[in-house]
Amino acid sequence: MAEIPRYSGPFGVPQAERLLWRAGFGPRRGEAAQLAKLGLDGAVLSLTRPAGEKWVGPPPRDEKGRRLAPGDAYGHDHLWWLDRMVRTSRPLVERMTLNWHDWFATSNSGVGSQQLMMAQNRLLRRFSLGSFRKLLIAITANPAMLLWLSGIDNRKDAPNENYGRELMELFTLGEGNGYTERDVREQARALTGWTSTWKRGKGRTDFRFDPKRHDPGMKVIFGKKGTFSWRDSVALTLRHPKHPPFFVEKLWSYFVPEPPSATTRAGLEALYRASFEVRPVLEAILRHPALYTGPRMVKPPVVYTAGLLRGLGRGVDTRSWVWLSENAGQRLFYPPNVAGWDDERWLDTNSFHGRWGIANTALEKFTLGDKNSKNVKVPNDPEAIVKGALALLGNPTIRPETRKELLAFARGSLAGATGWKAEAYPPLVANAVRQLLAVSPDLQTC
Amino acid sequence: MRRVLLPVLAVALLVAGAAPATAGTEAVSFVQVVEKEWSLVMSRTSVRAGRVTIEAVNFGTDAHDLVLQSKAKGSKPVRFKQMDPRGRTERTLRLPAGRYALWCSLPGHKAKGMKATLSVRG
Amino acid sequence: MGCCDEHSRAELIRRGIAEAGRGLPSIEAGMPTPAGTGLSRRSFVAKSVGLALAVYGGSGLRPQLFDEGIAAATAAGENTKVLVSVFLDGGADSLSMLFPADDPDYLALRPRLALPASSGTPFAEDSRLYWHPSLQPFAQLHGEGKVSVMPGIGYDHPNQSHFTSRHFSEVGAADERLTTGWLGRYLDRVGSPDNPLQGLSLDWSLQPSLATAKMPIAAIDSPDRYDFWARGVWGDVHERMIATIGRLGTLPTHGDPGLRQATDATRQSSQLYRQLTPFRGKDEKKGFSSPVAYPESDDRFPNRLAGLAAMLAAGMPLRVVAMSAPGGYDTHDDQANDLAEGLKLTADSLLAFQRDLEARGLADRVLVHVWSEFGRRAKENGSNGTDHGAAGAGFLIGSRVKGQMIGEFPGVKQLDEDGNLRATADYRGLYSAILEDWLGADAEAIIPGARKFKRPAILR
Repeated sequence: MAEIPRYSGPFGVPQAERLLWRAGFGPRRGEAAQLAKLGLDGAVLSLTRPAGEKWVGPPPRDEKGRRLAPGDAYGHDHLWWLDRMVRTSRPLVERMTLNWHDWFATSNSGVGSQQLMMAQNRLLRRFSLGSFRKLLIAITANPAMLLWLSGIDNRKDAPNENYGRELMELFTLGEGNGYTERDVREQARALTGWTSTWKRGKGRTDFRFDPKRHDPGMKVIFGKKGTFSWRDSVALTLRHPKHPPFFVEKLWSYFVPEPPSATTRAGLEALYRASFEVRPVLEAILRHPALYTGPRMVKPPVVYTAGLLRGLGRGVDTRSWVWLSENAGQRLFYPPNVAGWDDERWLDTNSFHGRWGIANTALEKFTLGDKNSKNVKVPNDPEAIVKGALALLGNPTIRPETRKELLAFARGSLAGATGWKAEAYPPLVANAVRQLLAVSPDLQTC
Repeated sequence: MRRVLLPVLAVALLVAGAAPATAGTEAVSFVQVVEKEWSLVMSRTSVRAGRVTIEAVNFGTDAHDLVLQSKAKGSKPVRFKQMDPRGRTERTLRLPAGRYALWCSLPGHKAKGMKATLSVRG
Repeated sequence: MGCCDEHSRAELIRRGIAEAGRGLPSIEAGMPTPAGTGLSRRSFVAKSVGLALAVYGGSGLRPQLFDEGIAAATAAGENTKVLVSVFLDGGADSLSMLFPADDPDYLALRPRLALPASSGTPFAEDSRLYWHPSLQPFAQLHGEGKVSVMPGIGYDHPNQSHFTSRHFSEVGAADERLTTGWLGRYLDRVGSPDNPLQGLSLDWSLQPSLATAKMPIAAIDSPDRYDFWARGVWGDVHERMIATIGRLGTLPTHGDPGLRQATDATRQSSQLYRQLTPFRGKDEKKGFSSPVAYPESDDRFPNRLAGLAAMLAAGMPLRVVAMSAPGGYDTHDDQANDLAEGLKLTADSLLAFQRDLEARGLADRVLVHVWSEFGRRAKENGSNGTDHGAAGAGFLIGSRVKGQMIGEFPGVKQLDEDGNLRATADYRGLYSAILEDWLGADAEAIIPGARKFKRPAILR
């Protein structure tokens, strides 16, 4: 069996940056340099086998200084999670939780309970780097998912195919890939039995499997016969020969934009089939040359946001992030539908404007030339201004042509700045350079 | 002046109090009431006495509102603004311990099930 | 109010469109699906006219073809009649817009909300009635014969559900399942497949009455989307910053698809910013000038009307234009101020629009229809407001209108079995008359059961 290719080029700051953006939420100041020192293997393992969580930075508050109530207050759920992304020292755990949120996309618009969504979030995190089998079993029984995909409406006398279909179409096999409509119906029968109790004021509670509501009869799924129940449903899809290829390709696509080569694919599938564990596959992906030498990916809006805050050293301190993220096309806990977010369309003219707003809000605490920054003197010097902007944002790697444009802008703006403008313009120019840098294609992608 | 675009659940913030509370000295609890046809589901059924922010969120397809009234004798109802679907509204109130009835006051809604009881613990 | 408040039903439509064809429906059974839900939506910059549009429906034509279609239709210079539909959102209180000040029943039903005769202008066609003080501009135009009033427009056995009633008004029938708007069906008959300006929603979302089955229509993409305001940046530094966005959008991407997606979005955004001059906020320089002064406001309504007049003067191929009036009319509480404010800006702006059209020699081509989804109850409620009613008021405004009342004032002595004002004219008859007399279309093919409804005389 051919080995999975391994990146063998230099592992310096640019590579460490990219790894942190793909497998996390971008570097804090100095973090890329530290990671680079560990070398490729050390760096990857520090992400996939992290030490205990150490939150870095100020705890989250809303703009009124209130603590967050993520199970209760609207928008606090998004903020709570954004905060984790900003302060975590285990970025891959958090990033995989986000990836699973997209993979098993459940929206609170159909669940109607922030409490239940938080519980699902904890479940996704618990299994983030571990056994996909355990994750799939847990998500099938998860109350938010049962509500979202009608699991509790699926009874032996009135089967509901919603979850059975998505289980195969979106979560394990791919649309029309190795299953028939008959399999969908039989899966639905196997998944019957889940129920809950409605309590006035509390909503749906006490989610449980009730054998009396389960269809105990013989089913035929993927050509196999048995009196299958819901655990069998899960096991059958996992053991389906089309599952490992689907799994590998989908997991890969969160980290690398171009599909894997045949050798890579075969190697990753073999790794996955050995244990149905996520970690070994992840480690191979994060070491792969395609991640370091291949083309860029657009950063998802929350990743972009968390990364700006990490780079700036700023915490979550306002609810604006909720609407800003929504404008940019990603409101956590509300994916557009069960197929998740569409990353081919992260950036169009509408969401660009959303990102502009995100950058502007992130930078607002650092605005020069207003009363908060009276003591900061901005030199009438284009080079220094551009350098300062880069430093503020954590010294990200940018293309030389981008740097040239920023310099040209600064020079052009300061060129005619005589008289009163000589004093007034440098802060304006500095603010503008920071904004331009933050929304540049360089920083929108990784 | 930069305008913020309309979010999915529009914001209509009303901060009012049955009695104004001194700012910042006391933790505020939140309770979210999700309104749909035909139910009110609260994010928690019991909360500590003191400053409580009650937020109503309309996840339904019809307009709804919220009324809160202590079950103690002589209490006055507190009304929340009406919300269109996907709207929301909140009020911060000082609630002494006791039991509170919540319901939607649009014609027929309470009878169809849009009511709940909140326990405020002393 | 304006675009950025709880227009949540509009938001439902936007979400419905966003989720068209994929995943779970955002609208549950029980509420009629707003017409136009599920229509595909594409952003498109009409270079020929400098507008950023969101185009709905139409077949899978490449957006570039719309530019040609618009150009061709403009060149053809057809001078078609234009209908401007202005919607008072929420069910405007007809009994305040034209009020019977001296009627004892009115005073008994509205102890706190009743308006005094001294505050309003007498209504020339019915001495019992007075115009709401904010509607003085309408009174003025009415005096010139340019307003036809419908004091009690509605339909038999009105449905009390807010959204259902509104839906019926938008689709032109008492049919919950109809998915096209009445004006959309008109456009399907007479429109062209490559001119999305034929049905234009001057709002940031689609007005359901315009929703078509076949023909493309458009909404102005919110100009807010194309502001690039940055804290601590202004003057020519700001201008240069915007220019630099454009330059960053032209840097080479060397075939890197991720970089290209980001770079393309950057470049297109800067282009849109430049192209959206006519419809940006009032602080920005407008790309057109008006021969008359419009009211100053943070609300976009006056600016939109001014822009519309300019578009018509430029020969743009519009047929039907829909917009929402400023203000909120669902006045369940504290009605007096909200209603007065909203009506004032609406009426002042529409007066300016009429004068603008007259100055530009366009007045004979435009008919304005002001409507609301229903009126409000005769008896006020306990919160200084009124609740949803049935028959309401509507207006036709323009140089060609007959200027005569359509249907008499229903009065408050005899209310219907629900305690609401009786309808003295059927909205479907009015729609049919607009279609036949103004737009020259076959009402029977557009309004279901049109033959049953009496056509009022609407034009002089």
